[in-house]
Amino acid sequence: MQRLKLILTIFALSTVSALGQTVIKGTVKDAKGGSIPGANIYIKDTFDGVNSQADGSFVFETEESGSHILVVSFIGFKDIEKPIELTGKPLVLDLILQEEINKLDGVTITAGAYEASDVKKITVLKPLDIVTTASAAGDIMGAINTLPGTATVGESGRLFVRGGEGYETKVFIDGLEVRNAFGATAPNVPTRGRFSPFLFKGVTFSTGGYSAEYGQALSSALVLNSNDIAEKTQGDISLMSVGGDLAYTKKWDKTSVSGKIQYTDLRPYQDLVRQFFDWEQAPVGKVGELVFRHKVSKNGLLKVYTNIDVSNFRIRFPNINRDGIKDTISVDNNYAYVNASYKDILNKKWSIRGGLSTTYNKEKVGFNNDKIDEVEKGAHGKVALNWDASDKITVNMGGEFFHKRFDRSFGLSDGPLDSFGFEDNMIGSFVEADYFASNKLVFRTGVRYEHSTLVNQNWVSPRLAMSYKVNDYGQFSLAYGKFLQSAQNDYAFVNRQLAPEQATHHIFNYQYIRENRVFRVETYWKKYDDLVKFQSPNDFNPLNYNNTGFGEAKGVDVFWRDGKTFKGTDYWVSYSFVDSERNYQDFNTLATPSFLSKHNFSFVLKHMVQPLRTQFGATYNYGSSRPFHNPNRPGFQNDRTPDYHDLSLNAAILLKQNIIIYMSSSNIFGRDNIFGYEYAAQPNIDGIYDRQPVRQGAKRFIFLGLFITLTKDGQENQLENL
Amino acid sequence: MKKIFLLIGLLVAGFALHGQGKEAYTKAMSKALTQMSTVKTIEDRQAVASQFERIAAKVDEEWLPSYYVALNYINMSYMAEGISTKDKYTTKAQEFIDKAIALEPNNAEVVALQGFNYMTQLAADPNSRGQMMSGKAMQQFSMAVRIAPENPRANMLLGQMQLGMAQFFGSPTDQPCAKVKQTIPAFEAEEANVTLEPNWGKAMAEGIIKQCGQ
Repeated sequence: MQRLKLILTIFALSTVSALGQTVIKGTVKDAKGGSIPGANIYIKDTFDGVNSQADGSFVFETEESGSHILVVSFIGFKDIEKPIELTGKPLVLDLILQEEINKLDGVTITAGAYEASDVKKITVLKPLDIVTTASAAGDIMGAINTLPGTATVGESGRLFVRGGEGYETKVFIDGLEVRNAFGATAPNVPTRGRFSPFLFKGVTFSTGGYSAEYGQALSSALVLNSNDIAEKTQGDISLMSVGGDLAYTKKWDKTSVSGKIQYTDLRPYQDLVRQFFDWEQAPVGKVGELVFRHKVSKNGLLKVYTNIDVSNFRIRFPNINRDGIKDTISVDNNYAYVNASYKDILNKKWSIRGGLSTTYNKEKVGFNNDKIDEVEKGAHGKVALNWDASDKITVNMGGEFFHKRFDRSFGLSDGPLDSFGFEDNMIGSFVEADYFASNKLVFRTGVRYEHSTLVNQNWVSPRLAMSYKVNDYGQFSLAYGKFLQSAQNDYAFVNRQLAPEQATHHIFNYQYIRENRVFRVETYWKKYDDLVKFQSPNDFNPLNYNNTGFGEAKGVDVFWRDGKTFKGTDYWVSYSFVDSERNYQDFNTLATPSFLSKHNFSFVLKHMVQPLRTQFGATYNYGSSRPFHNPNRPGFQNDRTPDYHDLSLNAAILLKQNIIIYMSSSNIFGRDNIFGYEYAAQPNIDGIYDRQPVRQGAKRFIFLGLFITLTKDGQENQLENL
Repeated sequence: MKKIFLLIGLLVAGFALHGQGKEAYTKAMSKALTQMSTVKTIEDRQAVASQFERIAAKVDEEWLPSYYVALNYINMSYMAEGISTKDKYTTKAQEFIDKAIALEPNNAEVVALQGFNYMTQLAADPNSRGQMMSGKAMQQFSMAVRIAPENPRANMLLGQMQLGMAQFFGSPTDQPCAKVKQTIPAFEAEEANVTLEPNWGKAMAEGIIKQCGQ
């Protein structure tokens, strides 16, 4: 009975307490005293609460009593949890919310980096831009070449960044290195990137000052992030003027597999359209790709990508040293690349990324009756941890190894079979911390350590960066870093004493992004040390090469993009000024190398004509004259090429929901661009060195394609693939 | 005997408390839903969203509070100016859609709302998100219709996406328009029998039908 009394008493008590009401009122302000309207103020585990008014004030009543917790929350601020005692007496509270550090959308390090991403909101480019740029012809590198900091080097096709050579740009897929990212080619025959742009959801093109995570690149890191699990099951058929491909993607709940086979054959096209180059056999290529994705756990994703590429061509070039008799150069290339990566979130504070990539590249090069065989094998393994140490500090750290084996054998018609090779194993590790002083100010300090077994040396490279956000749209960034890159295969396979070449970057950047408009200006100073230098201009014996070369590059890059002013039209303008001199390789003095043009300009335009369901695009590229050495005149690097101009056009027509027709043409006006001259080694009887120009392969390149996507509902198309 | 009394007493108390909780939940939801039907400004929406957030925080085993929080933030995204502000709201909406999905992964309403959020993200920046987001939204709407073939919201949203596509490609709009028209009786039936379950969408459907007439 007593117990029953007790129960009744409890009931009674709870009824009584329910009758008492407490008024809670006050204001919600930010740290600077500004009122916060719309904040949610409530008692935890009850329905009682209210939103703050325009002046930050609030008032509400609660029937609860005793000890409770008052919660205050608002987008962009940290929640407050405040213990309160409800007794019936009014509570007056002045609440102050602290700004939440937003590591994703707040201030970010932008010096040097151009990002194309769907994930992050503030980016300069979108992945789709890469594939709809007229001059790119579907090549990622071609689209990147319309960004500031790059130079037009038409006879190469590679990325020359801020006074750097083509080899100074390194390509990474999901953080793992790609060797031979460009197709095999012959001198003065431009190449293309091997990877289809539609494999990637994001691209970061860094023109300097990049993270300590990336090494072995003097000038630039191009980081490609591949797609996650496919969206749906579909088949794709492409018919192109230069070949065709078939692709099929199968999607399950947590897994997707895609396979693609591609056949490219330029022979019919080149029979039809007159070429400047004398192709004995135009390039023919077969590519097979396999993409596997598997969601291992809630956040764990395994990615495997395989690319196999077999190609060959034969070309004839007149030899200026043999009275214009043609040399025949043949290239047979077998390439295989495998990239397997895994990422997962371990807990609230830690996440992990890691993977392994391997590259196999075999080139059989024939030069008239001589044969040169080259095999390069590379492997890169990496494990990186991301640690959210606090709401203001994140740390990125990791370890990696690189393995490289390079062999070259010579089968000269008039000499013995000879072969050289070398192997290098390198380990690297990096630590980098971002400190967010506020949502406006971030500092980054990093350091990278590398050890090479080939030269048995250790290196430590520091990295520093900071950004300050002036307002919602504009921010300043600074970056500094030391970068190194091991000697190129051409040198290292003979001379194993060569130390890595070094570059030191200093970058100052201002960026303004508002809605669909982006403005960026960046100035930099880059210093080169330990460049490979020949002992004397005519000594081509690699054993005598040393690291006494040096140089510098300074310049300004400007970028303006506007997708707002004109309806249905998006355009961007890039301008780069670079002033660079080097004393390296066979130079006898400090001079500007031949790949460098002082002024580079690009204008990219995209316009959608809705009634025609067609997107038109145009790209104009300009490069100012390039220096070259003219032995008929005194001095060194003493002459200049004409300027470079190219206007490319394209159009993508959505014929039906799943059928697209695409056409593009480079160099509409058929300008005969000259990239430089080859001079005879000896003067002719008049005492003059004869020369022949290095030109484009043809007046223009015209591309036609028909892309069909097959799905159950027929609503997908390949616009993204173009 | 005492023990039996005690047990009965505790049981009664337990039920009473549970009943009280349920009743309080229903009351709070009804109040918030009533307020939702009167919103005009973005501030009103924020107040309603907060109300549902408070309910969601207390009653974490129900999917409806999270559903309505998300729905209100989605609506706020349309009312807001500027891509980054719009995105702030859809991000917040996604947080609550994730909670609702965790509770009800195969509920057509939740699946359709996920599609609606994708569509809203698309609407914030159609030029660059059109391609990727339209596929994702379409997929969700189709899935919702598969789960609940008669659900008017799923059908209306799917119809709207198809209409947009048809208009873009200049193909006939009869089919998607008919699909949206067919949802009206279902919306009317819902309005006649109000529960806590979602019943929004008639005005939106009528707006689309008006577009069809043009």
